[in-house]
Amino acid sequence: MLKPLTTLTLLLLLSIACFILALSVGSVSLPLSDVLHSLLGISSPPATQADAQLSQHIIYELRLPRAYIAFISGGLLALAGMLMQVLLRNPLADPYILGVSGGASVAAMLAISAGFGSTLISGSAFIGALISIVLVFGLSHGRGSWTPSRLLLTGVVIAAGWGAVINFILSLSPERPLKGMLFWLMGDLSHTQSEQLSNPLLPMVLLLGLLLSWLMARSLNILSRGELQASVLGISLKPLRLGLFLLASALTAVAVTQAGSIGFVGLIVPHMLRLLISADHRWLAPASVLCGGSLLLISDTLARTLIAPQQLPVGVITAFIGVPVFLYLLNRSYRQQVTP
Amino acid sequence: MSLLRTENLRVQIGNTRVCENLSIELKAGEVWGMLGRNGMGKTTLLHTLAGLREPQQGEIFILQRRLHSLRRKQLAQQLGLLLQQQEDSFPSRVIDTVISGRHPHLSQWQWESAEDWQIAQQALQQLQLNHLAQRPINQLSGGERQRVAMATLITQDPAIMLLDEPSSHLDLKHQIQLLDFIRKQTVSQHKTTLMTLHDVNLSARYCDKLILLLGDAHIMVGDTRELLNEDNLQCLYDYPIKKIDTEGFPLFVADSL
Repeated sequence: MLKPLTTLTLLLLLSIACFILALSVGSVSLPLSDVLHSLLGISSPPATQADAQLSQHIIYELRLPRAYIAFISGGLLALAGMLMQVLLRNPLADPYILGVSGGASVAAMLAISAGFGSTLISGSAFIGALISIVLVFGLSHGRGSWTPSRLLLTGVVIAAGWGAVINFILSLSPERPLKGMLFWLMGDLSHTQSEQLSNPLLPMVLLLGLLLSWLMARSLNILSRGELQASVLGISLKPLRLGLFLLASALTAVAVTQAGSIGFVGLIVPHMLRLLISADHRWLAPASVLCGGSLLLISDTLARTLIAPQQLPVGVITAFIGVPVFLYLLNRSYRQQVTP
Repeated sequence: MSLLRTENLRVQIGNTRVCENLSIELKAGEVWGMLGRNGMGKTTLLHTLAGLREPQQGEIFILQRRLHSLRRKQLAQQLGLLLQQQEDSFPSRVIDTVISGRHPHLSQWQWESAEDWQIAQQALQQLQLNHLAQRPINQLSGGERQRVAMATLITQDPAIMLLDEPSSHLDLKHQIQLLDFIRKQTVSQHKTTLMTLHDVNLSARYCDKLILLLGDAHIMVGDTRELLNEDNLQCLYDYPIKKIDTEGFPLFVADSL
């Protein structure tokens, strides 16, 4: 295992490196000095004024907004995944397991087929996610006792239901909006607009989520040892469970609204960090945000450059990176168990 | 001093009655044992006393205060429960598991202090587990895991210790060492302990008082010496028991039918 503080510092440096890479790579590749100049607001020598304006435009209108949204969405997903795993006490839980993304997807599909613009699509997706959260919560907290398996099964079944509705919409949809729908379903950041840079809501949601997770972090350490043990060690289960469910769902809803249902980030990042750094959620929460953000940022950079000028949905790249990394870590941890 | 007291307690799971009008008082320095066949409600009764489930009737007092008037955290500072099974869904080191016992003594934002880590280290030492401190919890044997759970309880440092089968998974030497340790802690630190056991001879050796759950809310409470005899045990286990007198203390063995 690595020292938590060292890892956190490394992850912070990694995030910055990912940002700089994302800003300089693309159809027009910008030298590092240009990127740094325009980020720091240093004016360039007059000879290259026109060039500087172009790179300024590329960075602020195109690449920075997209990198910014990618990083925040990745951070939100990884944090939500970490919370969901503790709530369900299942290391294989991901943010979408309780159907939040399913509800968002159905609403987004409907909005796309109605021909709405990207703002309205995002708005519908958010409302769809909220509907799904309320539905799962209501059904799993009805009469009788509350157990993680009841919540899990309710969520999984609701998610499957949404999946069927999505297929239904896809099969009836005319060809033209179909590609947009598929990209949305796989997770896509190509619709990011530069106005989102000035929207303070997203980073606030991420910071608030991180702060709340941090506030609960030691309780999460205890809860991950089982509900009975948590009660015995002085935790009031009901408010903690409710808070976890609502927080994880809300973070997921915001992420899905921004970027569609991007897979694997919320599953592998917290899982990987648990194996690499520590099981202490006070370290895991900030590390998940940084690592999730970097992973999505790198993936999106690849998604728009690998087969340029064609763009890939970023969800495809996260899966390509996520699957082998996850399998490697899983095998490694099992090997360690056999020969300590 | 009375640490845990019940008044007219009635506990029931489904149609099974565990106890009726149970009034007991656990005083500082006393070790109590609870015996009974499988499914008689030993764990249920322990969980009720630990506030994990509501009794159907009656009151439980923790250091003179009504149990349901205490917040969970306050309760956890006074009362600890060793669970029959541990749930380890996520990777964790032994020392990180043991330090979780300090949770009820820390405020929301507080980190474990050097003193807290020292308490955890000491608990590991007392249970001869210090060589395992850095090990992942899922690499331990059943007996080692059981002792780690006990070390967590010692780190929690409650006045009332409820133990659900503390000797399970342990080999003979560790059974004796653990129960010696529990008895010593209880007496020297003025705690009180109530544990469920399946070994009559261990309970004869370590318990001052016994609760016998005979089924259908039929319960016997009293001094170990008075309660442990062939007739009571035969009734308790629904099986013939034979007493063998040895030099130190009597031994009870299963007779043939």
